[in-house]
Amino acid sequence: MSKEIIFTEDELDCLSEIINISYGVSTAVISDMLNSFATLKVPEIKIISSNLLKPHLFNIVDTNEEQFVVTQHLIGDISGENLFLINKTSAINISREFEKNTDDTYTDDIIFDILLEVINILSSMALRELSKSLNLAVSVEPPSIEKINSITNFGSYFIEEYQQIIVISSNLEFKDQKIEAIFMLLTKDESIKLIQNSIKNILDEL
Amino acid sequence: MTYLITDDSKIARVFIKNALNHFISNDDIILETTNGEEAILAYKEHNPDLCFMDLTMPVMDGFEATLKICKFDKNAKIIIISADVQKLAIEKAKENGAIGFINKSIDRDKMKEILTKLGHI
Repeated sequence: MSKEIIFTEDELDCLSEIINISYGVSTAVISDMLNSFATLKVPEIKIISSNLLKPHLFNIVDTNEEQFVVTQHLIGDISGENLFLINKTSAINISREFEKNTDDTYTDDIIFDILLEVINILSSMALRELSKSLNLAVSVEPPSIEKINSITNFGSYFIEEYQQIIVISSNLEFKDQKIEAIFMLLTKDESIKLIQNSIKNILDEL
Repeated sequence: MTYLITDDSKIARVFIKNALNHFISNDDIILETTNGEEAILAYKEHNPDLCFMDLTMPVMDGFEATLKICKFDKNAKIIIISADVQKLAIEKAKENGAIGFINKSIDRDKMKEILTKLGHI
């Protein structure tokens, strides 16, 4: 069994700040595309064992609502997966922002296409900033998407197995349409150690 | 001179202080607060010459704090230092009274540019 990696308070604060900057840049791209102001929330960051992920999600997600699960494989120093959870209401709201249907109906296929495009932009931009800030290499593969009836059906979407997971929870609230998303960075211990070392280097320079 | 730095992240405040320390003297005072509400109280008590304000913060965000400080003192000088780089966020902050905007993270060059523009150095 691998040893738990503990981040100090300063290391978590620094990681939080870097993630805030990374997702701030990517959100700005989406916001500018929509010409709609998004209120950013302070992201909550937790580093948890992978077996605690599902109980954690029960605490932060409405268990009765359908969810769209988008995963994206990461390769490089930060290897693993990016995982986004978006509830159906938010998914329809974001689809409506990008494609205004006359009858206001959105099939899963339309939602899939729009979410894949939006998340690809959000994720690529955020990871580019994260990579630059941490001085760690990372590249992404095209995302894939599935729909689940409830978070209780959240199962094995992962390409690989993980020991610990960095869970980044944040809400995006656009001016007129409430859109909530939860981002998770699923990495193996080696990547978390590299991230921690980069943060230690940043803190040492301060 | 008195400077007020408002950011919920301790590390972000350290970055700002480090950048600022290149251009200020030992007699200058740096005050720190961690949210908009604390910033308003500190502003009213210490009347700082220049404020550096984050936007995304708990309790009260930087948009609201900027608006309230500028209502209290129309001559308040507030520079936003934020990761929220949406065009509309920058516009809103300026509408609320901020006189400048710096993308996070702050460094010596960005600090020098803004202090030069304001005539502080």
